Formats: sequence, structure tokens, C-alpha cells
Amino acid sequence: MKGFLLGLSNGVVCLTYCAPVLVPYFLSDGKNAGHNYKELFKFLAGRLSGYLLFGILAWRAGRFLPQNTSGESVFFGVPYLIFAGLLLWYGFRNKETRLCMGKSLWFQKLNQWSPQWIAFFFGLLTGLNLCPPLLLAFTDVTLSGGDLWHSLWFFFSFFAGTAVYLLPLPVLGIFNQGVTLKTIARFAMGVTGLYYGFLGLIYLIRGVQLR
Amino acid sequence: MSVLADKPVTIRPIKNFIKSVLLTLPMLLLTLVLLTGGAGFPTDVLGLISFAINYLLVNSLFFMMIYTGRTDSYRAVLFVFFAVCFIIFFIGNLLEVRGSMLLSRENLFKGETPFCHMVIPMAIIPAVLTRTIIFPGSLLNGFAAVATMLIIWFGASLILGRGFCSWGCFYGGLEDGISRLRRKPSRLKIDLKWRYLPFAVLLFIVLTSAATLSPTYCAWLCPFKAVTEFEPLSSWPALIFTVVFFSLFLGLVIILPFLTRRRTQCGLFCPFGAFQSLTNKICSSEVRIDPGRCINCGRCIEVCPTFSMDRDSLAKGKTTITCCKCGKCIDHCPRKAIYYHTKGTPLHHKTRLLFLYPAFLFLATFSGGIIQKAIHRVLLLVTTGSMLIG
Repeated sequence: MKGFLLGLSNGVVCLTYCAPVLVPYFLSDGKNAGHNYKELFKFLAGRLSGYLLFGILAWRAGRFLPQNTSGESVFFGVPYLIFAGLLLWYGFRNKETRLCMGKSLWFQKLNQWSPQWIAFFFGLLTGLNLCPPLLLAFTDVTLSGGDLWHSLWFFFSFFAGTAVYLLPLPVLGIFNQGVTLKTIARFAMGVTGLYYGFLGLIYLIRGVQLR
Repeated sequence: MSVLADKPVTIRPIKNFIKSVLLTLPMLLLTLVLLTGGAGFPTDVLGLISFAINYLLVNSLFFMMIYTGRTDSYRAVLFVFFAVCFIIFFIGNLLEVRGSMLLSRENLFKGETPFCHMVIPMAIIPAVLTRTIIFPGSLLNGFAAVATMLIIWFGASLILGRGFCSWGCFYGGLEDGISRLRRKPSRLKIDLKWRYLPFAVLLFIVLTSAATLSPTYCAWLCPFKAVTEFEPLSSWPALIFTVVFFSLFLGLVIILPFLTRRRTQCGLFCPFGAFQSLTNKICSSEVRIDPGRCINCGRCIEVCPTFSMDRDSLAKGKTTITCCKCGKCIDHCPRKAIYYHTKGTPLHHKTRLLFLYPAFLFLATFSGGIIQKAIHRVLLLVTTGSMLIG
């Protein structure tokens, strides 16, 4: 219950952290709200996986609290870079936003590839984002010193509390008319990708410096 | 040539001259009041010279706008001069107050950062959610306070809409000037899909500013940090940011405008411009095309600096939502088929004045203090060897 309440009370912050990815994602496909809800559930499944991974970490590490270590910087930097790559690819793969018309078969195949579970990976990588509410949950679990199930349950209920705030977002599907908004959303995904790329780079450089 | 044939040629310029003088009189009076700020003329000699130069320049340009019927050529002179003076004034101010252009943590905590209009779109959601302005500046006190800038922006948006970007933005003049250096554009063609990028950057910065409760555009992307203030290069992240700022400045404000003769930062990147485009929907002025006179020569599409004209918009007799109302298309149209138009009035070239008075008055007064102080600094530099006051 404590995890759920913590999630519920901090969910707005989670919403603002996920919105830069989810809002352009929902607008970029130009699909209706129903389709967007399916995508949201995939996203949430990914996010839950990320949270449960944190639950395991919190239990395993026991006294682990973010201490600005080299390992921690790499741990967060690498997912950021992968996330950046995914966002950039997704944002710029369509013909409306494509940066170049690469003629190689490999390039064309990459642009045509449309994985059904991309939202899951977006959710997973957003779940690994060290946002303030997650930091609170992490601190709570590590300080209480419970067993693995307690830790997993805490993060699951925390996830449930925060997920409530994401439920209205698929309604953005009502703006699915026209190419303009889709193009803007795809560009926005690319720009968000660049932002995460910078973040990842900064984390990695910090990690190297700390080593 | 007969006497009868000569008559209109000799008389019209005199009539036009007198008419232009009469129409300039209100501007002479208004700028006199607004540029002195109701506090009288400057008492020191250099201050008085700076005031006189500014006052004469502003009113000569307005007179020429009326006399020649051309808008953009004379607007651009003041707009470019404003941008250059802003940099001289701003850097001089920073050197006096802080001793350098570097923005330290101490300055941020003290709330000493001058507020810039670019922050406005980023500040809205956090202001609603947390009732705070996410910018390390002062709400009411000091140079460029938040409240002052908000009031100026709001008033200008109601009258000018995105015209703010051609008649008020103190950065826009830099690329406007650089875009005019070449006689003809290079063969470099920019795909019109990139016109959507500023809206994407706007969406991104609005959402990330809400998440991080900090102005992400200023922290990560602002090209004009290169000529205003930036963090000391004391860490890798600061170095990365500085590389980003300078690359964007070089690419979007210098190289691309020079090659394409377009305002590429304004048209392809600036999120404030995208935000300001939305105010074009509610403001009273717009640029319209008379389909009856238009011969579809495409000259307006060629010259538009912000990519705000295309075949579709021409067919509809309108510009796109991103029009900055600079007047370049109006000046270049061979059939005079493009108009400054006030909503609710018929299409007529006389309505140009309804736009021109408030727009020019805004540019003259918003730039006035800055231009005057910058000229003062340059005169100081020439006479004393230092442009710092005191």
C-alpha cells in the first residue's frame, strides 16, 4: 500500500518524465485512441519490467543508494544511449522526416522495419530513467531492508500508483488527422532522442572520469 | 516629352514628400516621448549624441518607409542595427556587472539572469503546476525582469502576432543581416519539411521543461548563448553544451542564412517562433494576397526568409501560420498583390499604415534604449578607450 500511495502522490512527476516520449509517440503514428491504448499497455509492460529490475537491484544491493560511482554512471548512460538510438531511428525513419534517402538495401530494410513491441522497449528504457519518484522508491526499499518479494511488490505497487497518470495520454489519438502533426511528432521524437543521447554521453563521460 | 506628360512626374514626388512628412509627424512626437522615457534629454554630451543619432535614425527610416512605400528594406536596417547593438549593450552590461560573459552558479542562485522571451513557452506548464517561474531571474527587479518582459510580449503578440520575430526579437536581426550579404542564394535547397522542426523543438522543450522544471532550451539548445552568456568551461558537460551552442550559432545563424538568404534559425529551429506563430491566429494583423492581381510568378515564395509562403498558401491568398510580417514579399511583389491587412477591413494598400504605426513604434521603443546605450558605449570606447561605464 505504501508503494502505491508513493506512486500516486508522485505520479505527476512520472507523467512529466514520460510525456516527452509518449506524447510524440502517440501523435506520430496517427492512429486512433483505441490503438494508442494498446500501445500504452505495451509501454507500461516495458516500464513495469524496468521497475521490477530496479526492485531486484534494490533488494540485491541492500544498502545501495546512488553514490555517483563510475558503475552507476555507466549503468544509466548505456540505456540512455540505446534509448536515444531507438528514438532517433523511430523519429527519422518515415519518409516525411527521413534525413537522407540511403539507397543501400540494409538502410531501406531498417526504415521499413516496424517492430510491434517498440513501445515495450520505450517503456523499459523510460523505466530505467532515474527520475525523482523512482529515487524515492529506491531509497524506501533499501532503507527498509526487506526481502526480494517485498522489494518487488513495493515496486509493482509503486508502478500501479504512477501508471494511473499515464492513462489519459492515449486520448491524444483524437488529433490523428493530417500529416502535419505526425511530421511534427516524428521530428519531436528525433529531438528527444538527441537529448537522451547527450544525457547518455554526459553520464558515460562522468563514469570514465570517476574511474 | 510634353509638359502635360511631365506634370504627374514632377508634382507627385512633392505631394508624396509632404504627405510622408505629415504622416511621420506622429512618429516624431511619439518616439520623442518614448525614447526620453518622459525624463527629459540626457545631460551628458555622449548621452545626448547617442540619443540624437538614435532619434534621427529611427525617424528617417520611418519617413523612408512612408515615402518609398517599401517596408522590409528600412525595417531591416533598424532590425539588424538593433541586434548588433543588443550584443554590444548586453556584453558591456555583463562585463560591468560580472566582469565576464560567464554565468556562474552564484549568479543563477542569486536570480541575476536577465529574462529572455525565449523562455516564455517553457515557463507555462511549470507555472501552472508549481506556481513558479522556472528561470533564475527576478520577477520585478533589475535589468530585464520577468514581469516586464511578459507584459511587453503579451502586448506585442496581440498586435503583431509572429510579427514580434521581425519587429521585436533582439536576436533575429543577426541572421536577417547575414542573410542579406549575398546577392543570390546558393544552389543549396532546403526541404520544406524542415519547417515543422521548430514545432517539434517547441513540443520537446515544453514537455522536458515540465519534467525537469528547468528551461531546457536555454540549458541545451540556445544558439544565442554564443553571443550572450554561457557557463564556465569547467566540466565535460559544460564543454559539450558550449560546443552545441556554438555549432548551432555557426550553422543556423551564420552559414545557412549566408548561403540560402533565409532566416534559417527563425524558420527551421526557433521554438519561440513556433509558439509565436500560434499568436498569429489571434492578433489583428496579417499578410494577405489578392488572387485577382497575383500572377503566380512565385517571387514571394523565393524571397520569404522564413519559408512562410508556398504554392498552397498562395492559392488560398494567405501566408502560412509562420509568417513574420517582415514585408519582404510585399516589397518584391511585381504586381503589388500582397498587402498588410487588418482583420475585418477590405484589402487595400492604405491599411498598411494600421500595421506600420504600431509595429514600427514597438520596434523603435523596444530597441531604443538598447541602441542608445550601445552607441554610448561605442562612443565611450572611441573617446576613452573603454566601453565600460564607471
